[in-house]
Amino acid sequence: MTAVELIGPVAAAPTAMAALVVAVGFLRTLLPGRDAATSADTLGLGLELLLAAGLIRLATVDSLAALGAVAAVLIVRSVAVAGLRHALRRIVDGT
Amino acid sequence: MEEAIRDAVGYVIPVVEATGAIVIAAGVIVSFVLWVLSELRLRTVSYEAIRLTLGRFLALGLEFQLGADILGTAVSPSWSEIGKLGAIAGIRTVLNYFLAQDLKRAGATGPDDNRPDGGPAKGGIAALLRQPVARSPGAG
Repeated sequence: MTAVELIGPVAAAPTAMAALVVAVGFLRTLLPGRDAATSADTLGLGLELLLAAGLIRLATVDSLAALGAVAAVLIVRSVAVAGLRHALRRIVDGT
Repeated sequence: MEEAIRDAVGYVIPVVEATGAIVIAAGVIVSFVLWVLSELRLRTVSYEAIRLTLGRFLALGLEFQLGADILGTAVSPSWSEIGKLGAIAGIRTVLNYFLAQDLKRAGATGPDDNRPDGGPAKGGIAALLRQPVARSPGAG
C-alpha cells in the first residue's frame, strides 16, 4: 500500500468526525435551554476538522488543478470559520 | 556527490510529508477525544479550547509540510516543478499565517480557554455560550 492510498482513509476519518460533531451540535440545539449559538459553535469545530482533512489530502496532491481545488476549499472553510466566529461574537456581545 | 545529495533528499521528503500528515491526524484524534469527553460530561473542555488544540496541531503539521516543500525545491530539476512547489508553499504559508492569527486572537479573547485540561474558562465565546446550559454533576 502506497502513502497516497493510505492517506485517503486517514483523510476520510476527520470528515466523518466533523459530520458527527455537527450532527450532535444540531441535535443538542433541540434540547431545552439551548440556542442556535450552541449549534454554531459545534459547526465551527466541525469546519476545523474538515480543514484538517483537507490539509492531510494536500500532502498527496500532485497536479496544479487539484491543488487549486484543495486550496479553494480550504480558503472557503477558513473564511466560514472566521465569519462564524465573528457572528458568534456579535451574538454574545448583543450588538 | 550532487546526485547522492539529491537521492538522500528524495528519501527525506516523503518522511517529512508523512510526519506532517501524522501530526495533523494526531491533532484530529486528540481534539475528537476531548470533544467526546466534553459531550459525555466526563471532562469540562470548552469548544474554543478544543479548536485551539486542533489549531496548534494543524499549524505544526503545516510547518512540517512546508519544510518538505522547501526541501523539494533543492532537488527539483525543472522550472515547472519549482513553480508547483512554490504554489504549494505559498498556499501553506498563507494558511499557516491565518491559523497563527486565529490562535493569537482566540488566546487574547480567552486566555483560560487555551487550557485543554479543562481549566475554568473566564472568557471567550465558547465559555460565554456555555453559561446558560451549565449543569451541576448529576443534574438531568
